[in-house]
Amino acid sequence: MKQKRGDQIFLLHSVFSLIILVVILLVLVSFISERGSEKIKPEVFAKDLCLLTLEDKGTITIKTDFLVTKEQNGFLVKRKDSDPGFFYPCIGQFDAQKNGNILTLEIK
Amino acid sequence: MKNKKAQLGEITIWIYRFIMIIVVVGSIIAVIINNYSTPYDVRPLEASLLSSKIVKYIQEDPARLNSDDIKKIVNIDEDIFINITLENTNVALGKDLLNVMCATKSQTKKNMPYCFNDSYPLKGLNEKNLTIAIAIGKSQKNA
Repeated sequence: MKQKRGDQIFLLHSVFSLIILVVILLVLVSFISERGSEKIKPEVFAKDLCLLTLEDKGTITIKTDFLVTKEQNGFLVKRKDSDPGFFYPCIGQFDAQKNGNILTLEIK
Repeated sequence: MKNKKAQLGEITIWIYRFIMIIVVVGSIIAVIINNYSTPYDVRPLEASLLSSKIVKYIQEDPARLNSDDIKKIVNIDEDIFINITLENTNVALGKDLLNVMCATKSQTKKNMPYCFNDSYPLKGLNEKNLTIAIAIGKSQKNA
């Protein structure tokens, strides 16, 4: 004869373990896919652009899909128009112009 | 009739389950927050690149060691302090407070500037040493 109470407890245990396992797997998958998708964040891009302005005098051309604008002496980088974006002030002296998806930096 | 001992055991198991959920979810949240909320600190790179740019700039023409010429390559309106010394010539630009903070090694690590000091022998000038001290604030964007 089967014990109903025992069956119920076993079922609860299994469901509980399964839920925890699914939650952990979902978080891991989303974390890895986010990391592995090679999406550069606007923060990283703005800071990298500022680092470029500390290179030797000259002109640098970069192809980018980000919306980049020069504000004061820094870069405001957005993914879309509605995005607040990330602003990073630069310590190098430069001029920046964007034509389409081509960004031209003139480093002084 | 319910077994009291079994009931107590069941309650204990449920408490254990809740604690387990809290620990697992809490750890996942802590790892994610730690990974995504820490900004990428570029100040060490900025200081290092800036110092080599200044060295090259002065190496080309040592007469450029004056505040007007240095301002042509560095935007000193930002949260930055630069002190350049070559023998008896000293040029200090930017926010003095950052230099003071670097000197006092303030306890409030959160808003501490990044402090950089280095010395470079200049070619063609009897290997005179050019000393550069840079303090970069911008701590809200980097730390």
